[in-house]
Amino acid sequence: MPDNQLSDEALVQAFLAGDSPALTVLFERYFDPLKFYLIKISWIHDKNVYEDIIQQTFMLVLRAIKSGKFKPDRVGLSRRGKFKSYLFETCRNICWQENKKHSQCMPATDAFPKEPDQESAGPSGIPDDVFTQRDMDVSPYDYYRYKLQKVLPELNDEEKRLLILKSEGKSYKEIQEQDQVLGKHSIDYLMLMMYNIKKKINKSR
Amino acid sequence: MAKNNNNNKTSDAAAKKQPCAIGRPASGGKDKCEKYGIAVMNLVMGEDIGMPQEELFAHLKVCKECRSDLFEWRDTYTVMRMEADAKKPEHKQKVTEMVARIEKDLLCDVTKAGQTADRNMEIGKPAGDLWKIIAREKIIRVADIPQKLIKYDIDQAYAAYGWLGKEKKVEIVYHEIGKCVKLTKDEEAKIPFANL
Repeated sequence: MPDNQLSDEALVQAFLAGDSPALTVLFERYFDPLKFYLIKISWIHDKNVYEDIIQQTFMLVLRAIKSGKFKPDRVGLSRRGKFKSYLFETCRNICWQENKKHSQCMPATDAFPKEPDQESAGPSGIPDDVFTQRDMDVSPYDYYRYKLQKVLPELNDEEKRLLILKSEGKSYKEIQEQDQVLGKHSIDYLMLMMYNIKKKINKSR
Repeated sequence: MAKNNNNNKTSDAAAKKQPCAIGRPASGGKDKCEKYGIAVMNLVMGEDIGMPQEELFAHLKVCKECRSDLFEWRDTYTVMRMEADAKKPEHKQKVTEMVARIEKDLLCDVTKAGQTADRNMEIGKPAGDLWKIIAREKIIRVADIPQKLIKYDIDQAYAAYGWLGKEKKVEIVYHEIGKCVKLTKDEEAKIPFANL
């Protein structure tokens, strides 16, 4: 398996030179960030569609690189650029085509509150002061992941357990009925505990 | 980015006090947005929000902080769920399958370029063009086919000629100008002007 610290461009070159595991590393690196990106921009709430789009994105990008239509490097010249930017751009284009096909799924504009303007935020919605210049490559997915990881040491055992169970999609009722440790608390107490976790996550930077 | 200052006023100790009812402010009402903060959290996680949805949405329309809180928590919770999913063995299996499909696709792409897999699609267009040229000119020299199909390469032009012959759409005739090709009787009948 290639080194996980290798740059995207190095992994692409390694894959095209015949090193198959390089593609696995690259795919695992971008699977979740692309999926998160799709959840944010897509009207279609179907994880199978997201996975198809991600797969199609990789196929198109790698084909373009292989045929020489796109040359991944870190110089922002035309027809040349960063692999990551090209990947997200391709993914967005495929997603828009899929959105058009499923135009009936388009959300009613008044049904849900609109996202507020984020004057202090960068293009990805992340405040500019959060990361240094070196970290500007960070995706929104990485940002939230970073926040979650940062808050973990601040939580006590019960809070950690509750966070894990809620991440698995368990309801308060299921947790209260099935979990031996948290089952002794009332649903309202669990809810407040979760609310405190949420506040800690919001605070962490 | 959301900075839910109002919500942050509640200390951890408040949570450990007597549990509050859903939707009622935990800190005795001193934080007017707190009940909506809890409702927002529960809305995102698919739990009972403890108040009519219209009330929550009406509040969200006027309160920018709670709106920011909603979207930030939605994204955070999405990442939490994805992180949990990524640890499941099925996820690893799914990624392996998808990578294998991508590799297979790229491999097929290489095969198609030089082999017959995609040849029919490449032949269809020049063969159609050649058919139209022969129909228009009645008879053409075989040697002239590449010139007539100038926009295709020589291999494609002769492949088109071969394909039309195989499908019995054209026949060879020996003429004083050389070996020629013309449409078969059946094909001539397909030309709209041939029957006039």
